[in-house]
Amino acid sequence: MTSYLVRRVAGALVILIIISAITFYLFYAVPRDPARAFCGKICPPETLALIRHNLGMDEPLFVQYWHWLVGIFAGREFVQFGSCPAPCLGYSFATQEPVFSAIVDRFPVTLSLTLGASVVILAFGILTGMIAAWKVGQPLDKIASSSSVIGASLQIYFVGPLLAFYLVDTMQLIPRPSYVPITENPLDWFTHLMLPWVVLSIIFTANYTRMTRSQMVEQLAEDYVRTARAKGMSSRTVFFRFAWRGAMIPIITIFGVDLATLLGGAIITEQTFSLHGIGELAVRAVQNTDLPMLLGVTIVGAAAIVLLNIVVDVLYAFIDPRVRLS
Amino acid sequence: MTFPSSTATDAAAESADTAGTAGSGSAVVGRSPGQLMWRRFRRDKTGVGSAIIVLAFFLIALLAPVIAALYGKDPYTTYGQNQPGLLNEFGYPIAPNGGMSGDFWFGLEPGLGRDVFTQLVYGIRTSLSIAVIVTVLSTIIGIVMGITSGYVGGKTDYVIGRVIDTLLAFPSQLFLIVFLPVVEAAFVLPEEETPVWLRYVSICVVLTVLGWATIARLLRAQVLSLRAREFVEAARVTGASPARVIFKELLPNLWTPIIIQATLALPLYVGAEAGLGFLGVGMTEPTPDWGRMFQVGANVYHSDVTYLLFPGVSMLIFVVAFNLLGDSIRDAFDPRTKR
Amino acid sequence: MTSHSRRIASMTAVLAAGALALAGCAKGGGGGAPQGGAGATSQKPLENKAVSAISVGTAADSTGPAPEVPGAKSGGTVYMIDRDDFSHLDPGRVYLNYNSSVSKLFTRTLTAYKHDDSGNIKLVGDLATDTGTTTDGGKTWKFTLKDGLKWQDGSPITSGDIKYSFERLFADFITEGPDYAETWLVPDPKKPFRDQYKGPYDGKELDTIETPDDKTVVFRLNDVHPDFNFTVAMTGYGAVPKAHDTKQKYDKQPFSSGPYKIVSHITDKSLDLERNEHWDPKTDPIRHAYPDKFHMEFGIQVQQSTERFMADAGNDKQAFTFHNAVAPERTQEVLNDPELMKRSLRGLTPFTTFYNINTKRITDVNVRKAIITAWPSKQIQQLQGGEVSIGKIATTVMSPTVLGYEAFDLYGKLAKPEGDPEAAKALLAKSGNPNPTVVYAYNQTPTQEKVTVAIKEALTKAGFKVVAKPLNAGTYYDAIGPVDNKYDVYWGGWAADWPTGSTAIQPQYDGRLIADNAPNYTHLNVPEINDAIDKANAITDAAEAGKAWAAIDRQIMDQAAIVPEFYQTYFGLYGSGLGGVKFDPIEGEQSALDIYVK
Repeated sequence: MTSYLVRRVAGALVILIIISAITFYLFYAVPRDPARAFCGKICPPETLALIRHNLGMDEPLFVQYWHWLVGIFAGREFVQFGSCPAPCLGYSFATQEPVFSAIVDRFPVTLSLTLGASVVILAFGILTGMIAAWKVGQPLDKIASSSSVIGASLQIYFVGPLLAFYLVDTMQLIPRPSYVPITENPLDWFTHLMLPWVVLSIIFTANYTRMTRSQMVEQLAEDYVRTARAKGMSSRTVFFRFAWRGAMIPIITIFGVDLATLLGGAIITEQTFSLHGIGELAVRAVQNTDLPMLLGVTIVGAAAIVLLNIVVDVLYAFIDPRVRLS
Repeated sequence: MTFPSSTATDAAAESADTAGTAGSGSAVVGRSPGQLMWRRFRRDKTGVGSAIIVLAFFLIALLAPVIAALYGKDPYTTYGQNQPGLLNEFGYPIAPNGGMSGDFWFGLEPGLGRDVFTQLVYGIRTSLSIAVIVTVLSTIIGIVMGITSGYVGGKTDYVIGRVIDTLLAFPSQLFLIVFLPVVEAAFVLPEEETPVWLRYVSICVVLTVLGWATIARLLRAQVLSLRAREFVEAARVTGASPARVIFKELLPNLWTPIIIQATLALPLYVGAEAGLGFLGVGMTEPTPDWGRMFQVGANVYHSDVTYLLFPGVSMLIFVVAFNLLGDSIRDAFDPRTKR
Repeated sequence: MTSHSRRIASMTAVLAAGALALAGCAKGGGGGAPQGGAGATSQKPLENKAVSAISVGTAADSTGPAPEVPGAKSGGTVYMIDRDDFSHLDPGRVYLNYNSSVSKLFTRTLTAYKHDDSGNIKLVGDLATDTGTTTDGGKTWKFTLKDGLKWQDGSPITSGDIKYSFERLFADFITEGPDYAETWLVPDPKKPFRDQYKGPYDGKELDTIETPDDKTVVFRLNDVHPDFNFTVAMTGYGAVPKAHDTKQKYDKQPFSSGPYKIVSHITDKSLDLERNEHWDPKTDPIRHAYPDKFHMEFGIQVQQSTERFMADAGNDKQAFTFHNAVAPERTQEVLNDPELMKRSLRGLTPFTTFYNINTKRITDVNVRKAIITAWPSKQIQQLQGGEVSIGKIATTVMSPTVLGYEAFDLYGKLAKPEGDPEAAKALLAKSGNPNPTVVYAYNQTPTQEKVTVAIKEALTKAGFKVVAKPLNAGTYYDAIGPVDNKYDVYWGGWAADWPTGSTAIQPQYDGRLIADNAPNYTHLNVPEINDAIDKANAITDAAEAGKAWAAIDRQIMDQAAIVPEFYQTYFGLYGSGLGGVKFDPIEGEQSALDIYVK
């Protein structure tokens, strides 16, 4: 187990370094002079040159990349900003804030959005799926499968504004989405994120209902379930103690991917609801050609996805003892 | 902007597993798999209905100029700004329901006052054409890479496998919006104009580059299992050239998963392209674009929710129809597939 | 207040809010008839009472304490909510109005602006006893410090500190602030100032600043600058103590010379201020310091702050905002609510926006005039939320907030704000080319794309062939910067650094300052204008100088060098529990200096 984790993490690090190197070279190849953002209104060329030097941009690309990489682990000194403690991802060209702290600041927004939505989607999806499997062949089953087609075909940027118009503007049932830290006011945190959660669950839940149902039905036909039944176990025990474990494995796989989609999709979700998480940070960075910020968000995003994959694989082993990590 | 995810892959893999057997089993009846599929498909009412809708969308896209000419408007003229009485001082349509009228069937775009109907028709044309191009390109690249990887094996397989891994580890949505300006900057100096076709090409390139990995991974697995089969072994032992093995033995057995994968991918690319437009990094003004209509819609929905409905509902209809069509095609290829 | 940062800020705002661009006013159309009539249309036109009332105060005006605000009382905590943390607090690095507004609470300058209730703006001595004296027409300036000035640790503020504050501006990390004084204090203004003096950190002093005693500081400039006393009112020339200069770190936690000191500053989250007991109100003609504390919170988007001010609940009752305006989609709602309007502020900011016409490429003045005449000013305003949200349609170079501003409209833009294609055609006929090509370069943002559609349509109607060239937002200024750029028309923004014509006009329209990336984006080089600028610069009487600058403004518009776009407006709200919240026309946003808790 430990050696497995070590190997996976090492592999993940290699992928991250490759990704960061590629993005670094690509982004820095974009012709853009960030020095202007650090210059007064009337900006003489010698000041521009000085700023470029202060930012370390007068060095060869690979030296810059090396400094960037080292900065993550050891921190950096910038003439322009003073010391930037590890993990240092540099300073934004547009807002001049430290990239790392900007990402950390926005992380709770994206996390609340994604995890909250996941809980709703999984809870409702699995619950309804189990009920459907418990009462096989009922109308619920049909509703689930047709609504999953429609749900999966909906776009966040269509349903989002539409529901916002009816639920927020017209009926004033729920507040306009915004982020209130959970530490500040848990109730406000909840109500202000309700709309995005609802929209995301409309799009994703039905899929889980359908999957859970079909997986459960399949599991119930497996030999071990029949054996358990033959030995006199109640169908309730079989259902809740054994069958769901087998059914959860494919669900977790799909969920692992969907979670990555949700995290990545945060870009669109946040834009739709004017939430200021990492996705919005990314869009802003793209619009400003804010290279350090882009690089930071990309690396953190890639790291999240890679990490998620490892977590999903480890989760398998916990749920299904038949899976060996090696 | 959902990307071909493993949800799609699984469904395809599921049916693809049995594709080979479905094909060989049909020989007994004496009909080609294509004929069999067509017969099954025609019996599927949902499938036929969806196919008609999808076809209608493609026709609309193809015939956009004709439709606009018959209708007598174009998607570029700012009618609302030219004719007084159409927009109020804040730029919103004066007539109810977003300015819908006999003249402007779907109303007027708030602000610039362009005709929504022609904007939508031309927008569908832009978005669908990008989706089709990307689907074709990414499928071709996916086929080449997947088969090469699976058939050649060894170091080639390892390298392609790692490339696929890395691509799938990229946060794809982020990369879409990040790479677009980079790709453009690679072609255009800052003081030069960015031509419309370049943005079009960049979108296609970026979507393709990030999209081929899924199908390649799927095909690689298929090829690996097929390679171990007797008929491939037999062909190789009898001295068939690799090209012959690939084109005569492997490819015929891969068409089913390829077509299924492509039908799953196309609506996702439509969504992805629209997502770019929504984020403001897709096709630029004044080229009409389906996705950019959502961006406008999301901005004006407080005051003019009607505007959002047209692109939204039309895209919903298209994607649902296409997904249902995909299901039907899958059923037709392999009636035993459970969903 | 750099136009560039402003541009980025506004662009990000458009992105961030998403809705900013088109949302305009809520419930405009949709269901019904035009919302004109009683609602938003009946607003009074925006006025700026300070327009013609900018003057230089006397020593009596400069003595503290500041006149009491009627009904004000001391005590309590005032809250401030805004979108962004202050990007810089080190005075030397402050240029943006946003940073400047807060700095006034803890950074004092030699001179400052005093606003009275009737809207007059007076330049007065802040640290200095008066607005400085000059005996040679503005080449040598002498300031005397007041008695009783102290830093937050109780040590006296001396002339040595003031000298040091200017010296450290030459350091390599201070690049964001203004550099007028630096350029004027070295022997040769034509050479880079950092080549002539490297800053105080290696122990060297700047000998053009003299401190004959602890109270007197004398600046020996390399040329005549009659409005140098306005220059030193910029926060960029605020006082920094030698003993507590922490270099780069000073930016997060400056040492106070004003009524408040920083207790804690968590980047992007909060800034807490409390009373600085060593500040003596008797030395200060402009600051009140009624509240005991300020708690400032960042990361509040305009939609949220608008909703919070409208709801007016809890601590938000005692909240104001420096910068956040009313979210455009809520504007009409606010305008129609008399209770809300009671705690709203509106005014003209010093920011002007315009479209530069590249006079090097479009050499025929009639073609330039035709561009202005055909320009769709009204449509552009409508696309960005109307007068309340974006600004008043402009017709001059100088903003109404500049001393000496004169209103004139050479091209009938106020009569036909939607553009006059017929008149433009007539002008083009005069030029001999009825179909000239115009290359319009623009910043590729969703809003600007829409604006471009409107511009293209309007110019095409007048007979122009328009080539629209989208530029990446991040590289916009790099692209339009070169003197030999290939564009004819491109957007720009400007605000005078102090409210006299010199910084409103000279950097942009003095033909001798044309250089790559210099602010003269129109590349206008007219000898008569250059001469007039020199003459205006030498006029010592502020009012006379104002008249001279207004005449130059007219000359520039005669040359049709720009299409004026907007005099930008501010429209913001604050909580019901606060009094003394005022609009600061110098910074163009809310002022904290007279605020009290009711």
